[in-house]
Amino acid sequence: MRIGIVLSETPSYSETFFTNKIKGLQKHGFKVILFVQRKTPEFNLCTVQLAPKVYKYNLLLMLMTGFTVFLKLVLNFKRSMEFIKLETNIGRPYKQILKNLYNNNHLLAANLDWVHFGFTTMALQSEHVAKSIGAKMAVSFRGFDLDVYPLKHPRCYKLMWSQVNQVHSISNYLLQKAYSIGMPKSIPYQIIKPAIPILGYLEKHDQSKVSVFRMVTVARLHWIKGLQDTLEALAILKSKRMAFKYSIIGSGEQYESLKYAISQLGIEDYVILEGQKTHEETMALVKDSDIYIQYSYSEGFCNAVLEAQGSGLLCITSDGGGLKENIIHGKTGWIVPKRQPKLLVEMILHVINLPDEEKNTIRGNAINHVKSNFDVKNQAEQFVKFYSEFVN
Amino acid sequence: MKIAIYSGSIPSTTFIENLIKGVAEEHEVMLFGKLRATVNYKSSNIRIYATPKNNVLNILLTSIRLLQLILIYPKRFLKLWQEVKTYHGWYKKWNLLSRFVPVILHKPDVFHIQWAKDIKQWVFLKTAFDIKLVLSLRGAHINYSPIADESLAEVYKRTFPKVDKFHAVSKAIALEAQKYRADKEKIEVIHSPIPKTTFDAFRIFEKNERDAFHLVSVGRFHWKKGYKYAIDAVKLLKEQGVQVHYTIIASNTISEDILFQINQLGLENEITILKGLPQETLFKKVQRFDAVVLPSLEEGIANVVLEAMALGVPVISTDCGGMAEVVIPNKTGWLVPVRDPEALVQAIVEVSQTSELELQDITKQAHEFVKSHFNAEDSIKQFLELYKNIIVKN
Repeated sequence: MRIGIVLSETPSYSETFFTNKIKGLQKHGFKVILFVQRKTPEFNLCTVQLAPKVYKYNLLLMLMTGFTVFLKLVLNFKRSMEFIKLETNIGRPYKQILKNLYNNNHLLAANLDWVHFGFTTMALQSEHVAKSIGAKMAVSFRGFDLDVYPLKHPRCYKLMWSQVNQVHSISNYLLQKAYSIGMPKSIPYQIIKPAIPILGYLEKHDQSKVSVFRMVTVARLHWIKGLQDTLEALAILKSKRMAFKYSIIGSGEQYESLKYAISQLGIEDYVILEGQKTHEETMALVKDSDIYIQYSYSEGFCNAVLEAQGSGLLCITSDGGGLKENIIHGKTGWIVPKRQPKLLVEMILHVINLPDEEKNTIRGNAINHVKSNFDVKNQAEQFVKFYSEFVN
Repeated sequence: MKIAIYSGSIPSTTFIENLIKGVAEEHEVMLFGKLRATVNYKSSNIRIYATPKNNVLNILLTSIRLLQLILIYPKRFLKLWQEVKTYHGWYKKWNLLSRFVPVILHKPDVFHIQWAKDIKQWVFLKTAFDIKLVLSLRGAHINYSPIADESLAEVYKRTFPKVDKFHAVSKAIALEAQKYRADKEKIEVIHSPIPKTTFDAFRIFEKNERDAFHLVSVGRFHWKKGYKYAIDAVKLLKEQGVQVHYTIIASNTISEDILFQINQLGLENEITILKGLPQETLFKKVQRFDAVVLPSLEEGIANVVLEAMALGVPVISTDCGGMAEVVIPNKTGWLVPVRDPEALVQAIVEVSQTSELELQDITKQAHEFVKSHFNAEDSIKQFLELYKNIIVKN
């Protein structure tokens, strides 16, 4: 079976969700082809097809790519005509149809059994591609796709719902969210949660001898991650004369506002913005910490929390979105209502003050939870089923 | 006296334009910077020596100016070249020349920099040409930019000791600037004036006989405006069964985080977002609300609050920047800590339970307060005094 996965760029090594999926499918004899706009030279897991580039200022390049695209369209005349027909039927403006023909050129020339859009937003303006090339269409839900994008573009997925054959959600939360924004109940779905490889239990240092608690969050510096709320909670923790260190690993647009918050809240000596780190560096920092915090407003599922549990950290998260399916409250970590820094700080204090035995039990539970429920091999099998056992 | 009022662009923001017009009544005012739109000043004392936006025009004009400079003041040119030389790349050099040359050619006595970040490229006016430097200390440039950008903090620490006088928009910002080695003795607090027309629009406050308490914020969507906390407060009020409606009037489109927050908290019916309005309509609209709320994390002194006070609307403000210098509890308004939705709730409930008579007292006092501390005539006088002192001292 030939699976085409559509992404904006080739996944980096740390995006285990995609790399594991590709490896798993290949192991089961599937041919996987990636369709992307940007390719990194290191990527060599499978064949990669690049989308036609869009040139705005260079006339020569514009003409050259335009000509190649035109040639390919002529070579795939029947498919192109079918695509135009489908697009015309829904009343898409001609200018937009032309744009879509151009941008989907690499997909329209492909021979595939499935066209799978790795993000829901990637399927926009490509809704008719799969049907035109005689393939089935699948989309994956990610947090941003359903939580944020439709707020700015209401009913943006209406056409997509009518074309998609099967959807993949990384959590039940996102599935319900999809229903709430108009996905018909008749569309077949599968919930396949992310998986991470477990490297084995690393012995934790003896906490009772360390006076400073180390806490960590791995997140882009983005508003949805609730980092302002986290910092506000930590300012309260400081006022209770607790000694602690907190690191945020990641970069992003909120850098300035977070820097300001750290200064305004007077926690400069307690908080470190570590910036972007490699996966190895990140995991090393995570393993050096006692508590992992993920106080997001919403998450599709959150791999970082999975990796923190897998590393035996005490995890405290919000109840935003799919996090409730990630952590088992009181067993593998703790869940606090979102957007309430005062409740977060109460929970941090509660966790810090737990007896060591109890902490170790939770750590063990978390590792086992990840091992038994978020196994890479299992995930691969689920994806095989996703494609091969599908009945229309 | 020749005074350059420099903001980088011509025309500038309203309050800088008012300053230009005010100072021009006594002195020659020189304007440098990029010409963004055509402006016509009535006063012949205002001279525009702009750098054109159009590249071809710029090459032409700068070349002529450069020639003039070399021919008339060859020594000045050599000094200027020593400065330009320190920058890398020919495009950068050219770009700076096109901005520097008119200033050196017309050499003002005082160069007043409106935005602190510009100090880095202009400090040579003092060191090489002995032009007196005045630097305005406003909002973000002092309050958070140097915190987020350590290299900027270093620039400030290096250059502030060379400035002749500072103009601070509030006492709080004067204090903040001292962290970057601004000499306390050199700082003058001069408030940004509120135009007379705003005071004329004052109305005696009347309580609305509506079902809900109507709150309004005016200002663009930006993290420093702290709308998140006001929305959290609305959520808490709703949970307590208090009928409240919150309107945000902003000039830009709503930010993703606020859109998401309103949706996640289910406050679509309690919150309205409006696009910015022309001032006169805006003032009339604001006067129909029960209170103006400023949930900001950082401000110099927020104009919207001053305007609301001038107009006679009760204000609830966070205690950030210089806000405490104007919002005085029990006298001119309600002051709450930053990042504290519960405190906002308490203040909102308090305002809603205050009698009309008391609210009239407070809004009247607020009006008088702003009138006596933020009127245009006084502030222009203070600026003129400030310029005079620099020159006399030397």
